[in-house]
Amino acid sequence: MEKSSEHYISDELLNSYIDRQITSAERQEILDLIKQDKHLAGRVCALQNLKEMTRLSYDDIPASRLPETVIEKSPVLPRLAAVLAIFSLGLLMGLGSMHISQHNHNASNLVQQDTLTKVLVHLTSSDTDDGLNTLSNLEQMLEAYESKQEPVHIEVIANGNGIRLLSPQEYRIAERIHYLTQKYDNLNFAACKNTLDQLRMTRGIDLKLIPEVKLIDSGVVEVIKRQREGWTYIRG
Amino acid sequence: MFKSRLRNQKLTRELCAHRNRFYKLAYSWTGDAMLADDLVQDAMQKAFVSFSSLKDDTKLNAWTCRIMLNCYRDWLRRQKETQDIDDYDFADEADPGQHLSAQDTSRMVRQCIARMSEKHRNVITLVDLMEFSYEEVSHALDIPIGTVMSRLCRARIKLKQLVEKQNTDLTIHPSRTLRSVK
Repeated sequence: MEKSSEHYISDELLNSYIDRQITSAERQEILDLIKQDKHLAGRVCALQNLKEMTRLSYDDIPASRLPETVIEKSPVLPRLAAVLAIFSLGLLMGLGSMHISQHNHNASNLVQQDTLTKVLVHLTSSDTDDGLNTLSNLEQMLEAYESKQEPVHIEVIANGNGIRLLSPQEYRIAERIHYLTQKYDNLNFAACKNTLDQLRMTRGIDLKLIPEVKLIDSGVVEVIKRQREGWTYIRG
Repeated sequence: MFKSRLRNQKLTRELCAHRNRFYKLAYSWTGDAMLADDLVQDAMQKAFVSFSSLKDDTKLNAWTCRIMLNCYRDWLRRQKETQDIDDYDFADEADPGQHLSAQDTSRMVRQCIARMSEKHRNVITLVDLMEFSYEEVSHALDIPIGTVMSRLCRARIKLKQLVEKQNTDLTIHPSRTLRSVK
């Protein structure tokens, strides 16, 4: 940017002025100079316009599709530890309830219903290793619950990039899913139909999914719905 | 223990309150709503489990931005390694003919920002979208304040040139307005 013949103020300083990164005294000094120097006023005005234009240009972008509440995620091991902790707590509650059940059968049914752990695993990444790792964790979790005879229901939902993991091309994952779903009937896999449709429309790709996967209308909506129903959310 | 839990809750609330700004920032980097959502989600989740490593709570936003920037760089690296069906385009800017001039201007500015170098784009979006102080930008990008100032100055000059060029192109070839989408 050009130099004024009367008062030269560096662009860095003018940027600091419009970004309010200078002291009140410096600000006042520049304001006084602006009143006397039209060229300087023009430079400030142009910078302010540019700043405002940048700020406003992201006001009409598509809204975020994620729910307002932020989903907490812990690294894989703590996540597994957390699930096991929930499981142990459930077991303690279950043991405690056994005493009650001798007296009241209906109450026992209610307690048993309460001990059902519902886990939602959200697949959004297409990384094969991450996918395999998630499946291993799921298997450990299922084994742990099975060995303690505690009920658990796990639903895996894939959308966005994660949907690719459920295609036959990901043969290592497909084999693992086949094995797991044969072994555990409390484990289900679902894929987002919206993602498939978008893939078809925007890229002309007709992605086939493995037969163990059922289709749901919207992955994101399903995730939100399950969370509201009290499912424990784990990002795969 | 209780104190730490309260602190985590407070930091979580603060982060959630700025979520939309983080989303805008992520969108300015990626130009894709779905990817921006993923990036924000990833960064926030990483932030939640690492609150203990945040030394100064007043730097929460800058610290989270640095995490988000690292997530974005990781994603870029992965994109370079694999080019497959995952990079399908969910861009929102698909139907230019139906938008009015204000939206055309917004889109044009976004395109100009997208064309800037990562260094320039980062500094300008952190200051103008996140409304960060130079000190926060310095912390988020891990560069001295003097560098923030000079880089911001160059970034704004570059953006001004890009916008002016785009405007000139549109004036000379007004019919291009309808075709100026990616």
